[in-house]
This record gives sequence, structure tokens and C-alpha cells, in this order.
Amino acid sequence: MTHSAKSGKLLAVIGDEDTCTGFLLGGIGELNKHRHPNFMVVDKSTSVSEIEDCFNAFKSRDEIAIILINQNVAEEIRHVLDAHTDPTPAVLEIPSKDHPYDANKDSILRRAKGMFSAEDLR
Amino acid sequence: MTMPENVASEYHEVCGELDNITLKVFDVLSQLNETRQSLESTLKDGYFLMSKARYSMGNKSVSTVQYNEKEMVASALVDVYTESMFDTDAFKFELTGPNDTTTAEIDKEKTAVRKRNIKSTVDDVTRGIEELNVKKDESDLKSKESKSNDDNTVDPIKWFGVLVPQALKQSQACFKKVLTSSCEISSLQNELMALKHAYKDKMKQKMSLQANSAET
Repeated sequence: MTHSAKSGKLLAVIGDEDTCTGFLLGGIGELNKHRHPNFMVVDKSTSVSEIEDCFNAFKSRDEIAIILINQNVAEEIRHVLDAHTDPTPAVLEIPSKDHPYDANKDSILRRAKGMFSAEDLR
Repeated sequence: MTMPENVASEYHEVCGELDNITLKVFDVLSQLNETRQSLESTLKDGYFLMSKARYSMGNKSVSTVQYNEKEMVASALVDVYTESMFDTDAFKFELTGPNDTTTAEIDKEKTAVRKRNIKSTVDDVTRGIEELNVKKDESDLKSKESKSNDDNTVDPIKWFGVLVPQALKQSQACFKKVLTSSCEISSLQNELMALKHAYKDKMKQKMSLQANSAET
């Protein structure tokens, strides 16, 4: 059974230059009324705290439904991703050009793995 | 261990639901794996084609410098709705754009053969056709107006130039495909988490039933 809900929400992306360029080509880019973009280009000079702040900012924006993040970038803020348990915005870890996707590192799959363990039932 | 009849039936019902949830979990996991694989291969193609376009256009021609923040309006949006399963709600995502069918329709309109003056011998037939054409033109005008109102977004490929290489267009198509897969994966992930909660609740229910029967 489905219920109608909010429509026209955005996708956000945190990743390297190629990932951001690709997804912006796909048509996800938008600036809100405060001129804040829904994407963040991470390069060598970007600090972990900047990524963390950006992720938290995206998380608090109501108009964002899905946050796409490169897995190598997600690794740097793993503690923040593990703490995020809300269904929206959904966080999706994607491979980057240089780093292939590893399912063992994915926050959601690690949570799902513990589903049938005794510890999880406490 | 013996249970009263009503407790036993409830216990078996809960066990059955647990089995159903477990089967559903494996179903979702296999779907997730499949969609993940398609996302990865499409993304790989997208990156490769982008590199190819960069090679032919020049190193700095496909970079953050070209982003046009003045004309940045999202054409790919997501609809969020909830779906109830096993007494819990799972959020689902569906991509509402970019709409490839409308652009295809517009292209079709542009290339279609225009109305021509064809003489007919019977006046009644021509009059009838004219009336039909007038009605059709009115409806076309209305649809075009609504399309122009909706279409206030600029194709991001134009940030990179007017005559961009085919590789960049193909890369764009790949990333558009990835957006659909991303929505599917996000929905499946949420479904998985909802199933996890449902399983946890049912397991607690089962354990409490077991404890109650042990006491009695």
C-alpha cells in the first residue's frame, strides 16, 4: 500500500570533480534561495571537517531526498554516516573513478549484516 | 514445552511472519546486488566517456570552471512516498526527470512533415478536415504553452560549449541512467532497513511469547 508524499525533491552529491561534473550533467544541480549549491567538489585540499559540515548541511535541508557520496570520501566521515539512521535523506555510497565500490565498507549493508545476530536483538 | 492453544497459534503466526520477512530480505538483497552492479558498470562507462571527451576538448574544458551557477536549475527531481510493509513504513524514491520522452517528442515534432495544401474534390470533406485541424492546432498550442512553462531549465551540456563531442553526450546519458539506478538502490536500502525493524519487532514478540509460556 502506498501513500502520497512530497514531490520534487533534490539529489545532492559529495565527490570528486568527475563525479560532480557527471551528476550535474545529469541535471541534479541547483542553488537554493540562499545560493547554497547541492553539490560539493572534494579535492586533495578539502579537510575532513569541511566534508562533515557539508554533509550535515545537506542532511538538514528539507528539499534534499538523496545524498550521493563517493565511497572514499564516505570513509573519511564514516562516524557521521554510521550515526545517520533516518530514512530521509537516504545516503548512497557510489564508486569514484579511482576507487572501486567495496560492499564491506557500506554503512547500510553493514547494518543489514547484523540483522540476524543475537546482539542486534537486545 | 507446552503452550496454551491460543498462545501456540499466535506463536506460529509470528514464526510464519518471521519466515516471510527473512525471505523478503533475501529478495531485496539480491535486487540490491543486481542494481548495484548495473549502477557500477554505467558509472564506469560515464567516467570513461567523460575522460574521452576531456581528451578531445582539452584538459581544462571539462571541469568545475565550466559550471554555470546562474542557470543552475535541477531538471532531475525525486518524488518521495511511503510504502507500508509488515506493519512498518519504508520510504521510496522515484525519479521524475530528466524527461527524455518530451525531448524525443519535441524532436519528432521538429522533423515531422508539415501540413500541406492538398486539393480535394469534395468540399464537405475539406471543411471537415479544416475543422479538425483548427481543433488540433488549438490543442497543440495549449500543450506547447504548458511545455514552455515547465521547460525553464537549460541543458547542462551547454555549459561546456555548443558543439560538444559525442563522448560527452554519451557520458551525460550514462549519468542520467545512474540517477534512476540511484533512486532504486536508495528505495531498496530503505526497504531493507524497514524489514530489519519489522524483524526485530517480531523477534521480540516471539521471545515474549516464549517467556510467557515458560512462566505458565
